[in-house]
Amino acid sequence: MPFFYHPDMKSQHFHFQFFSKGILNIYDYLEQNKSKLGYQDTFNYLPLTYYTFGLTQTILKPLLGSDFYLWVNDWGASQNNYSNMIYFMLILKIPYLIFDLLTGLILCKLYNNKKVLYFWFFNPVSIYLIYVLGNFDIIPTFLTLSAFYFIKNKTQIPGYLSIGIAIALKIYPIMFLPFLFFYDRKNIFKNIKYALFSLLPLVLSVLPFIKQKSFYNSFLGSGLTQKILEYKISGLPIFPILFIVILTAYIFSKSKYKFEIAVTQTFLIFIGLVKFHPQWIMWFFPFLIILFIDSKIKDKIFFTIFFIFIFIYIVLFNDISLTWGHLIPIDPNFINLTSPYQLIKLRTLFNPSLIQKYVHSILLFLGITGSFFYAKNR
Amino acid sequence: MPKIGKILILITSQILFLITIFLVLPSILIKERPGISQTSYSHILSLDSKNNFNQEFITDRNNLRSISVLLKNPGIINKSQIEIETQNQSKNVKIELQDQNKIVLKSFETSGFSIGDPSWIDFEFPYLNSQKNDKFFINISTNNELSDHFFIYGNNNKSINFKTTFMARNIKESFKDNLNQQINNFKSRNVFQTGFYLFTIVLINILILI
Repeated sequence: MPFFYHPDMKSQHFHFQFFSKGILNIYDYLEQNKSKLGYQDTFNYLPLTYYTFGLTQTILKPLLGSDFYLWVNDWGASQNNYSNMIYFMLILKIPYLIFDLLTGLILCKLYNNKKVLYFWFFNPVSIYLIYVLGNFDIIPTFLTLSAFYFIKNKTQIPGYLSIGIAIALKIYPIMFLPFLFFYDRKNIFKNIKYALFSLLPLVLSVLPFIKQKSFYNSFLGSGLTQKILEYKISGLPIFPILFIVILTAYIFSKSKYKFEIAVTQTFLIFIGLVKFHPQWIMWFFPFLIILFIDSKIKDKIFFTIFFIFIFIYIVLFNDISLTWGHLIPIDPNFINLTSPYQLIKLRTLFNPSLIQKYVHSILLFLGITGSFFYAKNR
Repeated sequence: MPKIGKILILITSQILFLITIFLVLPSILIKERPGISQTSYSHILSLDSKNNFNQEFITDRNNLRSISVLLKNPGIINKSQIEIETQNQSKNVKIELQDQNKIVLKSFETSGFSIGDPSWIDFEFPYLNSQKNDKFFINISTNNELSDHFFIYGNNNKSINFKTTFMARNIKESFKDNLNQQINNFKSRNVFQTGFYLFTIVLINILILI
């Protein structure tokens, strides 16, 4: 976990440092001080994310050392030349390790199957998503999984509170809310009052910022909503339509793994229809595991091929930080290597962006057919 | 209690991982490394046909591969950017690499179009069979007569900013360079942090074994 780096981790911690300096309204602060700051991008996350990780960084401060703040504020030519970067990565990823372990425990409790636990801890996908990309998505993922665990065990309030905190940290778990709500379709009317708990953390944390332009400007810059609605046929966005189809099938499903199947189907079409960031795979990944382990060999092959194409898609981004750039803590000269994208562009006649588009089309085809056949067979 | 076999597998696999990630991968992939450089933003010196610059440097590695200088084409100070670029496009900056006897080894010309406000201008060439401690000169000149078109960063004694890179010719040299880099990194790390780092790694291992 200490050997890998992604610039998102630095930009997030650049913003989180202001919490320990007493800044409570990060959106206004960044807007007012933009010209004075070394990194000028807006903070594209929700307030609870800022408070949670600002507090975490403040707690970890004694361990991080003084050069951490030099590094986090250095956006110049020497930004990668910090020999203690390996150490920063270790400390900053400790909270992720804790949530990784907790996710493993919840998975073990959910399925009572040790294979699931080993698979979660030792598969390259989750290691890549948690420790190489180093994004905090593991935390809302853990909370979403916990919500499913609670609701499956008919403890509604902790379940909806859990998904509520996840939504207040990162808006995406709202996608999982309808699946949780319709999990027990016999008690839908009874569940409505509990479901309100899922919006409570978001409402409470966003309320102080509701009238602020700086908050909207920053938050709407994250782009997930636009990306979900981007793929259209005859002006109609495809992802929401397919999502409703999956949800309808889910409501009437009697399968033991109906929740996991619905999440897997959403994942398959999401990957094909959305220009996704690699870290977003984490949102769905824990729910795929039981299906993968319990599936026949041909399904295992399908998933393996699907993930190989995802890997090719990621490698073909014109972004060195998604390939060799991960290894900067080992040696800062990795940043000067030619990325696979540039290598294809400079050494072959092929256009890497076009290849990436084809790969995405293959993922879309595999995703839709896989989602359809998977549902049918299950 | 975890079995001895499990502990051995864990330790062996981690040692192999560390060897791969710290020694094998960088040695295979990183052939070009930065060498001697000089950076100072204290003075911006005018570069014109009357003010050329000659910077001496002594190499700290074998096989010089590139030199870079920091130039400034101020397109937004007193005239519009397009006008300046149009004026500067026919005016070239010439960068020469000279040996210790000031004999030109490599020469490179660039126009105002390629110079930012400011930007490092990289001059790459097939690596030279130079040795550590060889003396070189970087000569920068221009045919531009106006004194407010091109500038160069440096300090007051006309010592200018420059960067160099060097190339490893084979895996043996690359391995040696990488080893030096890792040793230097290790030496420059905070002792307390290294101690805490090792403690955490041991703790995680115990956790995995349990």
